[in-house]
Amino acid sequence: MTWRRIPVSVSWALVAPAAALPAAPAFAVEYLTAEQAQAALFPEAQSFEVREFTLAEPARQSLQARLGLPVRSRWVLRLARRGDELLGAAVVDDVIGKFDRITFAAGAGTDGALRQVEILAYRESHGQEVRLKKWREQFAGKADGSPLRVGDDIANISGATLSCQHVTDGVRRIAAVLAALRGSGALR
Amino acid sequence: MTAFGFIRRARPALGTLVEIGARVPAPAAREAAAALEEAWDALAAVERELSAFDPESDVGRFNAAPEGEALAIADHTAAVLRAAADLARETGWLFDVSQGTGAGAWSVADAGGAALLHKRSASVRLDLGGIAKGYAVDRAFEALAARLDHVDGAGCWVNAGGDLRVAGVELPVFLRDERGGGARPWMVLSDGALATSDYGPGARARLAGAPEGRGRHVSVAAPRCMWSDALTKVVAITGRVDHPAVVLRRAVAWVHAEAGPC
Repeated sequence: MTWRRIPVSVSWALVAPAAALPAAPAFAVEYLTAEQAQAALFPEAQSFEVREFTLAEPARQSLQARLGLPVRSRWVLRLARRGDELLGAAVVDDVIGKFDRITFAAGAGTDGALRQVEILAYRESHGQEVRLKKWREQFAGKADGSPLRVGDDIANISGATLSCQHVTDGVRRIAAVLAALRGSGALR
Repeated sequence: MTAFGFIRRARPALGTLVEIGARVPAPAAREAAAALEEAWDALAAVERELSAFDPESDVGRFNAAPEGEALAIADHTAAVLRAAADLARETGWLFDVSQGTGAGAWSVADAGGAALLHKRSASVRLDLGGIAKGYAVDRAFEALAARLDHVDGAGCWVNAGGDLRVAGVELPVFLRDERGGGARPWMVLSDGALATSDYGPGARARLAGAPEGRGRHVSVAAPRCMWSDALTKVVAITGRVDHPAVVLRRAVAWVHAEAGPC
C-alpha cells in the first residue's frame, strides 16, 4: 500500500475555522463525446442521424404520469443505421443531483432492448452553483475525440457513496420516450 | 521515450457511478480498451451474486428462504460473508451485515468444496452494502490488472462512487465535501485502496449501531478495497482509527472534522 497525503488540506483544517475555509474547487471529468458514446452504444452502426422529435402533448403528459418524472416535449435522438436499416436510437441527456451534474447516453434497439448506459461527463460543483445555467453551460462540448488521452489528468474523487438514482431515473425516462416514439411510428 | 496516455470510462453500477481507467503506453491503447471491458464484466458478475435487491441473487434467495435452510452459494458470496463474519467477531458484532435482524443467525460452512449458507432464524436478512462494493471493486481491479500485467509501465484503477483501488500509477484523489459540494485535493494513492463513508447529520447513509457523536465522516486506506470499504463502518461505529480490525489489516483510518476533510 502506497499513499501520501497532500499537506495543503491539512494546514487548511488546522489553521482555519470552518467559516474561513475557501470554497472547495469544482471537480470535473469528461469521459466521452456524444459521437464516441453513440458508437459505444451501437458499435455495429455505420451511420448516425441526429434528429429532433417532439412528443405530442397528450403523450408527454401520460408519460409523466406513468413515470412520476418530469418529461420535456423536445428530444434529440441519434438514429443508428447500418445501410438503410434502422438499428435503434441513442439519447444524450443530463441529470442534476445535489452537487453534481452527470451527462449520460442511453439508447434502445428497434426491439426495445436497452443498450449499455455510458457516462459522458461528471461534474461536482461547490455550493448550489449546480443549479445555475452559467455553470451548467460551461462544460458543453469540451471532451476531445481521441480514444487515448495524453497527459496526467486522471484525478479521482472519494467521498460518501454518490447516489446514482437520478441517472437511473434518466435512463428510465429515455427508454419510455423511445418506446412512445416507436409506438407512434415516428422512428424510421 | 514511449508516450503514455490514459483511458477512462464511467457507467452506472453497484447503485453508484463506477469509473474504470488505465494508464498505458500509446501502442497498448486498444488492448487497454478490451481490458476495461473485462473489468466491467467482472464487476457485473459480482453485482449479480451479491445484490440484496435481486431475488435471484444468493443474498436475495437467503432473505426469502425459510428458517433452517442451507443454501449453496457462489464463491464471491462466500468470500464476502467470511470476511463479514471475521469483522463481526473482531468488533463484538458491531459490524453486522444482518443490520440488527440476527447477527448470529447466519453462518457459512464448507461442504465438500462448496460453501453452504445456513439460515437459523426466519427474520434474519442480509445486506452486504457495507462490504460488497469494495469486494466488487477488487474483482474488477484484479481482472484489469491481470490483463495489463505484461504491459510495461501500465497502471490502472477502479472507483465505485468513491471506493477505489489503484496500482501502477500515482492517482490524485480529491475528497468530496459532503456538506457544501466541491472536492479538495487530499491524497495521492499509487498502490492500494481507499474508501470514504459519511454518517454525519444530513448524510444520505445511516449506520445501524453507531452511537451519536462517534466517528462520522471516515476514510480508510487499506491494501484491498473490501477492507477499506468495510473498515470505514468499523471506524464510524467505534470511533477508533486504531481499532484492532484496522491494525490487523495494515489499514490507516482518518475521521474527518465536521467542517470538511482534515
